[in-house]
Amino acid sequence: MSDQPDLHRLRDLFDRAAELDANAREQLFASIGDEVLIERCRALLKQDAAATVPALQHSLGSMPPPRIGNYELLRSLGRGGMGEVMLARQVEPVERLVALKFLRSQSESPIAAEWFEQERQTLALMNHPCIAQIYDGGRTEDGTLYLVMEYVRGEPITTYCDRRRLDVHARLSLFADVCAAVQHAHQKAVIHRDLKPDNVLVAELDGAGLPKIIDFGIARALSRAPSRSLRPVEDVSVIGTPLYMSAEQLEPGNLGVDTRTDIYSLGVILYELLTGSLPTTGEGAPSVVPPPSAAVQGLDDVARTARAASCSTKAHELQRLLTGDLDAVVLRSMAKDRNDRYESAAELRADLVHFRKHEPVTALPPSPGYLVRRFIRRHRTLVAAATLVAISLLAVVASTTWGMLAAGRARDTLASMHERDLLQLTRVGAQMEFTDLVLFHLDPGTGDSSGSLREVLDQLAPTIAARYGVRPREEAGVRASVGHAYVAAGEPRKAMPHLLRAFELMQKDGGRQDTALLPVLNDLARASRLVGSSQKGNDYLAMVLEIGGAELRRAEPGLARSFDELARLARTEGGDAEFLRAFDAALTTIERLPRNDHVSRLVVALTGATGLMIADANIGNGSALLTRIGRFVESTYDDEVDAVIPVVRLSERMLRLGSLQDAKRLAAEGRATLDRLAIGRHWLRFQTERVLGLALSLDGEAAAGEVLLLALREQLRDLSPAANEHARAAANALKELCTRLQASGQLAGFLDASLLRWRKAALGTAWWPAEIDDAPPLARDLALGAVEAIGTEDRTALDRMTLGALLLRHDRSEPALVELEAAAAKLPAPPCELLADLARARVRLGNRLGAEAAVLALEAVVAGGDASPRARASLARARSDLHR
Amino acid sequence: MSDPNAGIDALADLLKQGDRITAERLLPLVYEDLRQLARGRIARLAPGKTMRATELVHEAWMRIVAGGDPGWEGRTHFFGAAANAMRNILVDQARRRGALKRDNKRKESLPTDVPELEHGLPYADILTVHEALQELEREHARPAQVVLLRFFGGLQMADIAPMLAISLPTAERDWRFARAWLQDRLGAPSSSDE
Repeated sequence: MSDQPDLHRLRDLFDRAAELDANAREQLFASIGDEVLIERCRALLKQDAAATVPALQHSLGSMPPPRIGNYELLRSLGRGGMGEVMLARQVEPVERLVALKFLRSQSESPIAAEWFEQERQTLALMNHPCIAQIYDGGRTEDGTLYLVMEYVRGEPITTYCDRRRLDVHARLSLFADVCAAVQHAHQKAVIHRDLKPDNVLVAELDGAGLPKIIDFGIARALSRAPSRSLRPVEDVSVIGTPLYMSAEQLEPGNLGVDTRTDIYSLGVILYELLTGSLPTTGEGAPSVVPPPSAAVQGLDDVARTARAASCSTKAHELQRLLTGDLDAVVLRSMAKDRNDRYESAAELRADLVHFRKHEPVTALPPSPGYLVRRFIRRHRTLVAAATLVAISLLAVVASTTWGMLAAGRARDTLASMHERDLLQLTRVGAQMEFTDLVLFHLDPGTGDSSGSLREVLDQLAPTIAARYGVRPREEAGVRASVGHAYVAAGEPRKAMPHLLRAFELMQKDGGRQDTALLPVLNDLARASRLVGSSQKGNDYLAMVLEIGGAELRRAEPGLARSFDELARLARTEGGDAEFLRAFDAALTTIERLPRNDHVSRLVVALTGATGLMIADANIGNGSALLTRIGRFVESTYDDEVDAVIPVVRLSERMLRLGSLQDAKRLAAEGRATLDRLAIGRHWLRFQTERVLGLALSLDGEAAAGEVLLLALREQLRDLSPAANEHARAAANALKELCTRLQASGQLAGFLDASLLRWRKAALGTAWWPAEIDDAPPLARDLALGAVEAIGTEDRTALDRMTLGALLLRHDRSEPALVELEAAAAKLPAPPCELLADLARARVRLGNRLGAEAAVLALEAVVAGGDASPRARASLARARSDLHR
Repeated sequence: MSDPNAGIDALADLLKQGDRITAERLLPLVYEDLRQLARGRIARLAPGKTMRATELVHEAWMRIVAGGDPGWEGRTHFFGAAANAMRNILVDQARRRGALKRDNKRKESLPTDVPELEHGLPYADILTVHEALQELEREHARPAQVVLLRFFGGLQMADIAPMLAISLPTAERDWRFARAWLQDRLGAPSSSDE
């Protein structure tokens, strides 16, 4: 063929150019001069840059599916802005259909892969029936990154609803599920960024529609992965569908997108679900959104009737349903300024639930509690971060950092992750989410925590000024978080300068909301008390109450007076009884306010501050107050983890006060919620079960309580010595139980029953070592706790023998020997088991002569006529120990 | 060819003759064997499951090896022929379906003698790809050969390179070139577009 030389030259040029970077390529081309050849080569190189295995698969459709790892690629599901999506079959370890999403790789760097891996792990933490699960991820042999996701068969939610002519309530019900799923992801600090009907598929399951959100967080995972630098957030505004995208996300170069961008998209989807149309047909977020009812009204008669028919209703009925509350909900979700939107998907969902229950929605102004709600809505995260909730979360922060280390991550990664999260989350102004992040991302609770947390903080703290100095708002947020975490790590002195600086910056901030100060003030109050300046602490509390009261005044003028009074009392040293009475009165007013999530959160917030005021002398009154607050909160909180926290803390208080019934009820409720949320090895779970087990045991349900506590002990059996306080307390609950029973004089009775359940004699009778050897390990733990709870002076010789035997079997040879010797000294004729144990203990401690003496004594017993199997077995055991 | 093993035996014998065999003799045998195999296998597959083309090629190879390994030469010959045969089978199927679509009356007269094998795209695309590959074969024979073995033969690059008596980096470069060439020829999008 005549053009053959050209083909060879093309091939040669391609091979050479393909190895070069852009500049070198141009130099190469410039040296050639054959324009036709160069253009042809350029075209091929462009394809080369785009080429991935799946892309080729796409274009070479007939080719049999290649296999990537455990996945056989079956067919293309489509191309998104980010790359190819393939249907694949997973072969191992289970066979199932999955969706593989590929990303064109621009970088082979291990850093990119590491980011991608981190993102993937973050995404994999989402676990919600309405979110398509991320299973896996990796890199193909040609360097393409991919994610493996649950394959969802379904149709877009809008199509689904219209095709089935679902009425408005059915639509809202489906949509509420979607909100719950979005909330779940947000709690794990994952933002979708591209919510639209195409990403909210509804699959039919047993005749009912199950919505599934696909591609959650993919935009970020994929856009960040290939970045060459470690700059944390790439501009992802280009990814996504403008019609459903918030103004701030569309803004070029705007990196400050937060969870509220998803709220906007949810609003648009809801709009479309209700009206069948989009609020705008143009590009981007519309400046004025017509209310859904107006959109329907604006249709001509035929279209309006058709729209109503697809919602299985009449035109005027549809119009009536949309007007008012639903208009307000949609418009609030779609507010241009994200500060005017719902603060969370849970709030949006709650309003839909209110609507369906014919309760007032929070989106609508004229209700009496509107101002309070609005206040809390705006600042919910901050308000909630303060307070009781935050105080509980302190422990979370302290307990969960360890999980990262345990996961084997390098300390730098740990620090940079914190830093990244702090940066991002403070942009959202959400300390709550910082703690949430830690709360949800890591396996909590069973290892050393505060140690590593401190290390991270110590690394992070000195860099704050340099990093955020020019951005005072961010600096304030980061310092507040760091201060908060230092308090959590038990370092109030280190916390102080950060908290004070945060406070100072916030006060200087012209655009600040006073309520933003609440969490910082709460932390300052707590830290002050911890370092012994209780008067200073009270002053901070007073400020909390003043700010909270001022906000509440808008809703209920009477409350402001109450809180002014509370603030005054807080400053008064020793005025806590009075304080509680005043708070009680204020609460009575609050209880008259419409109950909803927001008021509850504020109440919890204020309670957190005032909780510090409850001195031991007033704990009775204080707990009555807490109980009322608990009821108030319970009746309104959603099923969220933070709803469990006050409940569990209250149950703990009740237990301490001896209100066993209340403790039991609250702990059982907390546990039921944890079950529902599928929260397993978590400090909340440990604490709940500990309280429940103790309360049951002490309140006449000994068997049930014991089972629970033993199971808890078993679960935490191999706890590291540095485990967090909740886990440690839970692991020692059995001992705690014994101590409590001992204090109330009930121990013997309890043990009678308990040991009987393990077929063993009660105290006062020896628990024979041979029997101990046969007993379940848990029974040994229980018995050890029981006998140890008996004061040294009160122990009988038999108690000591039992204790020694138990200690010996817990490898605590030294104390065991003390007890055994004491028992042997007191008993005129030491039983053969005791002698055998003595021998063993002495051998272990290197006293061979002593051991031989014990064996001799034992031989004497057997020679003296006791030829019982017990005696002979003991002798055999002792001899074998001796010769080991 | 009623005895299903007759084809295999003949094929295995032929492969053992090493470099004396020619593609012209081998291809029809492999083609027939693959079709036979597909018919037999698919009948035993669970309903709703299909068989992938490369799986079939490998299965055919396993049957040949079971009768005695024909050695390296045989292996090279076999996969070379099998990849082409598989391509022919898929192209035949695509043409037949195209014909069926155009002329429903002829449905009866065109028995589907090989059950459908699994693949990615509409049949029309297979024909386009086939044509593109033919063109690539004319212009850049060895890169086309790499594509053929990799996709229709289901072989790994590490297997392909020695078969074509080239080094692995050379094979990778061939692959890269062929990939770009084909995508360009097929008008595949070069950047993310929707």
